[in-house]
Amino acid sequence: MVALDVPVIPRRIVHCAACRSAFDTMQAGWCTCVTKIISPTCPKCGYCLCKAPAKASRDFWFSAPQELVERRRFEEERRAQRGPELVAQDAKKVLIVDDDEEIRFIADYALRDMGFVTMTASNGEEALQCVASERPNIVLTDAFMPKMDGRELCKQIKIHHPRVKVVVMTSLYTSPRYRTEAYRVFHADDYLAKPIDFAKLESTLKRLTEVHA
Amino acid sequence: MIAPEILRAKFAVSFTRRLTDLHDILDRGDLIAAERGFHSLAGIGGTYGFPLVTTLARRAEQHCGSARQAKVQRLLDRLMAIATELREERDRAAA
Repeated sequence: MVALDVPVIPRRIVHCAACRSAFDTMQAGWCTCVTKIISPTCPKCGYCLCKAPAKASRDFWFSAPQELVERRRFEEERRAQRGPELVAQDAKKVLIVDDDEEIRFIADYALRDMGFVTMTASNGEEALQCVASERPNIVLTDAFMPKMDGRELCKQIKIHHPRVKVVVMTSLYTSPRYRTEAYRVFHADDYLAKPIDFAKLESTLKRLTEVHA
Repeated sequence: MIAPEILRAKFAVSFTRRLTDLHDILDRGDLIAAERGFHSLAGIGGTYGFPLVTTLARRAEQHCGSARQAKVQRLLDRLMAIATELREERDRAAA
């Protein structure tokens, strides 16, 4: 059972019981699970409080800071205008894979802002497990990482989960030779150069999710 | 889209930390680790909207590859000056 540790005193920072990382609930995204109470999700692994036992969830909200409760109310109102089922069905999942914590943070922040549901992994092995369990629509991966790099990850995803789109991003794939290798050898669906251009990233992901839908 | 002031404030903190790490790495004379650090900084700098950081870090990365430590050090000093400006800007905004 996945649960979030419930703080004893009201505070914004909680620890995800799935991956143990601490995160600020005021900065975290909201889950799109069809539940009565929407919950903050762990920015690192994507697990949400609504998967915790009912008592833990109740206790959490009982001791949550007022600013977080307000933020949740705002999100509930926003969803009420759109319809919660629309949010859950519309939202496309993107797995961000990069060994640089800061790139993960900024891409996560930007993609959530664009309306995607995000999850993150710091290497190819972790990402492959996440793809199997979370079934994202798109994987946005760095090319060069420890353990399993983005190109090998891309290859593995295309073998085991061919419907998942993969976008490789790197500062080295700027020459036509690397670009061709990304498409032909590793079967990437698209490629983006670093530094990340967020406008280009948004258009690429939207195009791929349209094709995917 | 992400508010530029949020990005600048966050970058001001992490940029300084990365440069301090690079300073220590260069003190040890580990140009391979420095090359990786500058490569990473080049990617992150542009992503935060600082193309000059990317340019300088790329140049430093290349000099690490050709083992020109003195040139790398000069570029690191220029990057340090940018980091100081950013911190001052953030402090002014907070005041």
